[in-house]
Order: sequence, then structure tokens, then C-alpha cells
Amino acid sequence: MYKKITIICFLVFAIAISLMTILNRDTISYLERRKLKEFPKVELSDPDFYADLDDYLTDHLAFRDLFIKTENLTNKYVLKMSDNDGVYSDGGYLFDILIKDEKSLNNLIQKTNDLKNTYFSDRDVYFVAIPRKNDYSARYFPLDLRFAEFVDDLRQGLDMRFIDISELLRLDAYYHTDIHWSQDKLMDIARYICEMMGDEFVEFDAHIKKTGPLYGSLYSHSFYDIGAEEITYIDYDMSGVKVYDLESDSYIAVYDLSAINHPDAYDLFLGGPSAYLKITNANVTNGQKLIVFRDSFASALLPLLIPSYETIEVIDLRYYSESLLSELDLIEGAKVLYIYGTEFINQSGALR
Amino acid sequence: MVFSSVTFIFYFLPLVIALYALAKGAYKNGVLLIASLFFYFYGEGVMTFVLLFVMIFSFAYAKLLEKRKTKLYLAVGLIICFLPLIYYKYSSFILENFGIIYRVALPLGISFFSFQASSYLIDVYRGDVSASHSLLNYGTYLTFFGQLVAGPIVRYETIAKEVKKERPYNEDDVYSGLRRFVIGLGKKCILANTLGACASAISTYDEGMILWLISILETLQLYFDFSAYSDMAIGLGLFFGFHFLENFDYPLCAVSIRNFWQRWHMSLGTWFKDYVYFPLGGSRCAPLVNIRNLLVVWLLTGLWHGAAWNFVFWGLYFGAVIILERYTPLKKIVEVKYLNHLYTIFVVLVGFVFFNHGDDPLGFIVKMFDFSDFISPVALYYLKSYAVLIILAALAATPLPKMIYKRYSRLAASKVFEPIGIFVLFIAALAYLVGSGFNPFLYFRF
Repeated sequence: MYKKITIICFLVFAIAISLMTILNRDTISYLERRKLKEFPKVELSDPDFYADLDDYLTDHLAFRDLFIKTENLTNKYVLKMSDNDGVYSDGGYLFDILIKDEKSLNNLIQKTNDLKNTYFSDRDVYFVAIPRKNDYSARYFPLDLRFAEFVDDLRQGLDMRFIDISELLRLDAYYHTDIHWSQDKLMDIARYICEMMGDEFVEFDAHIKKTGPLYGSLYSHSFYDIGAEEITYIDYDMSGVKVYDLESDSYIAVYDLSAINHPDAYDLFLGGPSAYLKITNANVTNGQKLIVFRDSFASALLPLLIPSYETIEVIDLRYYSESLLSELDLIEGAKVLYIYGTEFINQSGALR
Repeated sequence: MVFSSVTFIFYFLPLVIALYALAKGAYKNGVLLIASLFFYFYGEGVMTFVLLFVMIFSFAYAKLLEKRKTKLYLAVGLIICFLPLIYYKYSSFILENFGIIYRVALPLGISFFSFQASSYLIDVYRGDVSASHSLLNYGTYLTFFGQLVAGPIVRYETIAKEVKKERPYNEDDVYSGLRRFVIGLGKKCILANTLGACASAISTYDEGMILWLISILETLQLYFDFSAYSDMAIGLGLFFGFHFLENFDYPLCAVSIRNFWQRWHMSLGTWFKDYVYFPLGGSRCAPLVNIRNLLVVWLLTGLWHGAAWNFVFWGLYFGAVIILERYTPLKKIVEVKYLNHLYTIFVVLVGFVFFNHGDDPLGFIVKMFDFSDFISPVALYYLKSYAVLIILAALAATPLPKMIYKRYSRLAASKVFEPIGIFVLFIAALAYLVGSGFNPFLYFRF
């Protein structure tokens, strides 16, 4: 009898899961911060159709999030793994293990110096490297890259002034589930960078606001379900501020609150990844202008610099080829600032 | 389509089981044949015609061969049967050795179904089986989706009676099949994939300690992956009333390399023994002839696994060790308890480097034995992190779990706990299937 019951239970389970999977209409996985595969165009003679169908069904499997969490918990409690896909937790924060890549570091130094020598040899050029939150964690992983390890290489290799912000950061400046930093902890850093560049930091009336949920990039790899977070942004009077986005050839908002529903909620800041932005502030007349080369970390920092600059040109060399820079009408006489996170410096293959 | 996929587990398999249950008489085989051809078409598209060619040719030719049992007819039949395999699998390799670049896609599982079809022709020639009179029955045997792309190599005589008869629903078989399939799925998704992911994560390092760890992880991964497919194939066979022979018998517990190959991919070993080794004279001959026979078998075994020089060396490496075990003092080692296990594992770990690292196996092996900068913090970290998994895998590679199961399965409580255990393993396997993006299919070369 128990064999019959077992067989029936499995059949019922399989049929129930298959039906629920077909009826699943989710388009985004917040847990994994990505769009789910769309149902492929039906072409029965095309082998790609079947491969895409496999991906679609796996993405839409009923209880998918629960299965992912089950795997994470099994890795932690049964297999006693030290990390889960390179992610570990400590004190309610998630950290990813990053192993130092000398080639990537040298690639970034060389390309950044070449860029400076080609376009900005007569300008003041500054470089800010953003430490990872792992550098402020008490738990030490022997393989993990430490900021102090390669900051000296950067200082020595880069033909520009290095601004060290590591003393201004603490663990609570970062999100629990994401690698990025929280904007409400960046005011001192924005002020410090301005000062180090010899510019005036214009104070403004800041209002800290929160929205959510934020499921950070490390969230799906957590051993524990530590829950979603809120994303913090600093609101202020933005009359006179315009943000031009070259890719969409349109003006976008400094904070796009609808982006909270994107797979990556960090798109809230300056529309997320973008090849080229030109930010102008009609309320500023101090003559300060800035060209910024950046990765995603700068997205939260730049809004705090807007009240201090007439114009900020923002270029992301992951999406904008260096060879096309001459086509941009870059501001004459502007200072140049590079802001890159440690992750990007250590994985600089995406530099164009 | 692979067994460890949502499409197979939740759509293809339940649908085929339902249609099979509804079908009567010969229609049952009809359901299986159509399902198997669709299963193959799903992943391979037009290459299904290659499978159909081998199926129809071997079926028709066996009837002719039964009437004219001459070596010439057999040789012609085998050559034609192997032609697609030679063209798709070996033409690129042969031409590349003459400096001609020629690429052709390899139909999945072509080595398996070509060997099954050829064994059928040889068995008919020898009179071991009668030629099938039903293309439906023969096609069901040759193309059965359970063993089509990753074995085991099932000989027609193994299931000749079963494929012809009605095969009514048998609750014991279906339950055993379900249990076996879930065990296979667990071995594949939890053990093989996780071990493989770890090996992949550290594959960029080249310190000696790391390379030994990679070698251990990859050998365990290959064993659990391959034996898992065989488990699932045997389980799927039971769903539909077929009883396939075992394909693995705890090879990592072997006491010699000869013993290892008697326990690893047994259906391939049996094929080469029955159709190549024995016809050449086997071991009942002069030592030099026996050595030649062994080298021929192991050369072919290597080539069966892949059309590349590393597979040739891989086959000859094991052939050479078996010859040494038979004709040199090495045979003394295989008689020493415990030492023989260590020796076997050592030879296997080194040997499988040829299998897994075809680009530069010798460089890999040399670095394994470079003790100058041997200790690696990376290796120590991963060894610690994956210690429980590696220990579990090592235990699962022994008969211990089966012994424990046999001991407790007699208890009345096992009727409750066994189904729960199967269900929990099924959920865990699904969790790893979905949660980990690492789900490689290792048999694309076969």
C-alpha cells in the first residue's frame, strides 16, 4: 500500500508543480535581481526553441525562490560550507569573496593613464577607489582581496592624484544585501572629495528618504533569509537641475522612484547604468565643472555633488568606448575625476 | 533533453507515463518509440535522422544476416552500422592529423546507439538472439530515451523478452524505479554538480595541492554524474517494465585497475570483452598476443570516449597498467590489503587527468608532482569549505549506504521513512537543480 501512496503522491506533486509553473506569470526575480526568461517564439524545427523553452520553464518553476533558499540552507547546515557561491554572511551583512587579479589591476592602471595622457594631460585629474565593505568586517577570509593590498599599486601606478576615502567609511555605510553603499552615509565623502580637488562643496538642505524593497545583488546567495532592505536617498531642491542621457536622447530624473521595481533597484540613482550623462545645475554659478569617469558606485554619490557644480559630465567606459571620446564635446577646463569600486578595478575587462 | 531538467521531470516524463498507462498492447511500445524520438529530436533536431538510419538499417540487415550468417555479411553490416559514428565522431580527428580542418557536429549518444545496434547484429550472427520481426519493438529497444544518450549500453538479449510482451503495470517495479530515479537525480544534482562547481571555481590555480584537489573533485564528479545517469536509466526502465543490467559497482572501491574497469561502465567493458577481446583470443594465449589484445581493446576504449589524442593516451594508460598488473611484480601490490585501494585510487586520479584536461594533461600531471610550492591557501580554504561534501561523496561511493539501507529496510517503520526519504531527496535535488546554475552535461563527446 505504501508504494501505491508514494507513487500517487509523486504524480500529484509533479502535476501540481507543472500546472503552477505554466500559470506562473512572473517576469522578474527580485531574489536573483534579474528578468526571467520570456516564453520563446514557437519554432518547432529550431533547436534553439527547445533550449529557450528549458530556460523558460526552469525560470518559472513553481516555488523557485523556495528551492533556491533550500539549496542555500542545505549548503550552510548540512554541507557546512564556509560560503555559498562565494558569498558569506557576518553580523547580518552579506559579503562576496573577491580574489585579487593583478592583470585586471594593471589593465585599469594602463588604460586610465593612457586616457589621461591622450585627453587630459593638461588638467587636474583625480582618482577615487572605493573600498569594499569586506574591509570593514571583523571576519577575515584568507583569499579575500583587501583594499590595503592594492591601494599602494594604484597610488604608484596611476599618473594622477589619488584621493583616499577609506578612513571615512564604516560597515554601516553599505547595504546589508548589496555590494553598494548607502547614499545617506556619503555626505562627508562628497565634501571630502570636493575639498581634495580644491573645489567648494556647497551645503544644501537634505531630506533623507527611503523606499523599497531592495533585494541586493548578494541576497539570493545568502545562507539565511535576511529579508529585503530599504534603499535610502537624499532629496533636496532640484529646480534648475537637468540630466541629459545620451543613450535615450532625453532628460531623465536624478532619482527615478519607479526603478525600485527594476531587477536592480540601484537604477533609482541617475537611471542606473548609462554610457554618458550631462548634468547641469542652473542654480550654480561658481564656475566649477567636472568630468567623471565612473562605475555604478558613483550613481549614489554624484547627486550629492550636483549642488556644487555647474556642469558634470558622467562617462561610463563600460558602455562608452574610449575611442569615441573625441566625438563628445567635453567641457573645456573641467577637472577630471575617476570613481571606481574595488570590484570594478579588480575586474576591469569590461573597460572599452 | 537531459534528465536533470525541469522540462524532463515535470512535463516529458509525467506525460509519457500517462500516455503509456493509457495505451494497450503494442501501442505501449508505440508510445515509447514516439516519445524517445521526440526526446532525441528535442535536443538534436535533424540529427534524429541519423538515429533513424541506424535503427532501420540494423533492423533490416539483421533479418538478412539471420539468413546468411557469413563473416562477409557481418563485416559489411557492421561497417555500414558504424559509418555514421566514424563520419560524425572521427572524421574531424582523422583529417586534423593530416592538417585538414573539418568540423562536424556530433549527434548526441551516437556511440551508445551505434554500439547497441552493432551488438544486435553480432548477436544475431552468432545466433545468440533471433532477429526481431517488429520494427516497433526493435526501435523501442534501440531508441529508449532512458538509455539513449548516456547509456548503459543495453544488449538486445537483455530485454528481448520484455520488449515483446505486454509489460503490465507492476507497482513494485514502478516504486523501485521511482526510488532509483530519485537517487540518481540526487547524485547528479547534489553531489556531481556541486563537486564540479568547486573544481571549476579553483580551475585557474596551478599549485600542486590545488591540482590534486581538482583531480579528486573531477573524478568524484565524473563517477557520480555517470553512475547517476545509469541509476536514472535503470529507474526509467523499471517505470516501463524493462530490467537493465547494472552499469557501476562501486568502482572507487576497486583493488586494482583491472578490478576498477570491471566495476566502471560495465556495459562498455562487457561489449569490448565479448566483441573484441575474446574474438582476438582473450587471455588464453601467449603473453605477447594477450598484450596486443589488451592494447587493442584499450586503444578502442579510449577512442570510444572521445576522438582526440588525450583519449587515446587515456585508454592506453589504463591498458598499460593492466598489462603491468598482469605481467610484472605490480601484481603483488594488488594483493596487499588497503595498499591496493590506495594504489588504485592513485592510478585512477592521475589517469583521469588525461580525460578531463585534454589541452595539456602532461603539464597538469607534472605540476601535480611539483612539491616546491605545493601548499596552497586556496586549496586549504576550499578543502575546509567542501570537507563535508567530499566526505559524504567518498562514503556514497562505497557500498556503506546500501548496507545501511538493507539493514533498516526490514523494519516496519521503513515503510514510512523510506518514502519520506525519497521525497526529501527529490526536493533537495530540485533545490540544487534550480539554485545552482551549474548543471553540465558531460557526455557530449560520446
